[in-house]
Amino acid sequence: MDFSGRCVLYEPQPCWAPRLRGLSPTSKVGLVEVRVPSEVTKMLSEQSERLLMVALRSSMTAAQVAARLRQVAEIRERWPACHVFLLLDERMEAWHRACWEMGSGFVFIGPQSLPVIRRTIARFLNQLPEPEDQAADEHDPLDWLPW
Amino acid sequence: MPSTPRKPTTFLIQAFDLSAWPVVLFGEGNTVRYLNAAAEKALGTSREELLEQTARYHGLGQLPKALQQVSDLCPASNVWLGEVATRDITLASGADAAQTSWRGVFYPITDAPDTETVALVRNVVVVLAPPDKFPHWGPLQPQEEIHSTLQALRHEYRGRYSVSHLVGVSTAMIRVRRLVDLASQSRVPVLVIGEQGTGREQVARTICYASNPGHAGPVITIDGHLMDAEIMQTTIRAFANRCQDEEDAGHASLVLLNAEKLDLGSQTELLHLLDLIGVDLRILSTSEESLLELARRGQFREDLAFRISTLEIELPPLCDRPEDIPYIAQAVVEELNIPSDRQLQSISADAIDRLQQQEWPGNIDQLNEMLTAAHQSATGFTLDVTDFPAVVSRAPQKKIEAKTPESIDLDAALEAYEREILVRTLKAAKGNKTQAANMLNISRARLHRRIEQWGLE
Repeated sequence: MDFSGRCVLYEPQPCWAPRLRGLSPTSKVGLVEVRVPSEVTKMLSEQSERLLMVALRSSMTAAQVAARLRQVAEIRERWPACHVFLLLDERMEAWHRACWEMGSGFVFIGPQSLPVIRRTIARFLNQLPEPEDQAADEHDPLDWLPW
Repeated sequence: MPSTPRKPTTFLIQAFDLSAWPVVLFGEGNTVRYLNAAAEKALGTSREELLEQTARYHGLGQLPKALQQVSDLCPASNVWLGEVATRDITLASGADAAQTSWRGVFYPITDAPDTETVALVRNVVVVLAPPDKFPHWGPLQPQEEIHSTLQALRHEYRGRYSVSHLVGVSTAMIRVRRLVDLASQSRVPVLVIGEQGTGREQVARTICYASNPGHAGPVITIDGHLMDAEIMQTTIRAFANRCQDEEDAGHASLVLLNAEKLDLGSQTELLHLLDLIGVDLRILSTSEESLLELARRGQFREDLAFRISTLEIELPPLCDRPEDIPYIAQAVVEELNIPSDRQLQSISADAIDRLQQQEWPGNIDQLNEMLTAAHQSATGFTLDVTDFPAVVSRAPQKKIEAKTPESIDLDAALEAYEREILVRTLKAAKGNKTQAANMLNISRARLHRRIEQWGLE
């Protein structure tokens, strides 16, 4: 089954990318790294059942973090099938509350959260419907025939 | 007899009293100790209401008016560390809640005049000036920038959820709005039930943010999908600890999305945490079906289901309330106009008819998606059928007639079904009629009769 492109990491500067590339579930299915917001919109318009990881860094300005959170809220509203993880640096305590409120509960702080991220990505991949099932003609009322 | 010389502070307060610019003095613990007449006028709130109020740095969005205004003026942490700071302040004042912009300057009054190393700030004077009359304007300090950005973000985010956004004239939606009103006046746990895309999260958040001012408190969202007990535990514990640290009067809200998707471990953990954390956590959950029903079937913990389903609000699917579609569609188009260069005015009657005839398995979310696509491709001021994606624009137009009792011809239906089976079997037998008759366990003669009858040769 082809799950490539289901895990998307959105960060303008690579920071979480090297860490996530090494995680077994993402290395198996292929992790797509995205740098610009329009690319995220395009990918989700094509297929919204993805896992989108959005990185927020302490080096970003407040306006940049707010814009990213605003985008996360819009994505969650527009594509409910998309699961959004927020990946935060340490030392971003001021933003925790907004992340908890506007995200979906998956707020991971610092590289020590990688084992939990790995487990959650595996859960996401396990619950995806198998593509072969979708390809089958689901409208044929004679599927029960043995031939 | 010479009068007693007045204290210097009396002169200072007198100067503040006469100031045309609003002045507010914060004491320890971010408590308002003084404000002048100009501040009273600018805020549109009486002095008695504002004095001794404690500003909440994070508790923004749904506070009582006086507390909200005080929080808007709250000095950022760097001011309490001795830095002079400036930032833009937007205040909602007056009965019409008109927003006015001010430029605020924050002066810390330190307590250790003889030493340059540690200065304890006991008071902060906040002076508000109209932005155009304030020439000394420098870049924001990072803490101030975060503070003011967070404030604006919360106002914007929470402002998106109000009862007026729950559009519809159907009886079902009127009932939903009434229940939302009712739920927002208390802190009982609410379960919003509806199919995917019916706007369950919108309703849950509306209840949360429309609650009595200050009752919502800090909010945490948890999505039952993918959630496991460990993430649930660390997230809610961290949230509860922060709520206790920041003295939010112990009120907080949990928006639990897709509650039916929680696995057993997460359900147990949630139940355990609700008893354990020292925060009054109000739960607003969403689910595709009643949790009590799921519990009855053994698919959900009964104790948790009872705990979070005190008030159930059921959202009808969109196809059950086509009369709401014109109103929802118009509201969506107006929303889409806000950030866009395209300013569409309405939707043509033809297009509305087509929209009302659709099945909408994805409910409001799907309607939103269609309207967004149509908004992008529209060429005129009115959305027409041709602007919509093919699934709407090329859908056969159903004749709207008075409903007649439906009937089917059983013989014809069975004949069509039998014919399909014969065709499939002959194909599988590669045209060998004897083999096909054996596969269907019928006589060869019967198979022949059918083949001749339907001209399957």
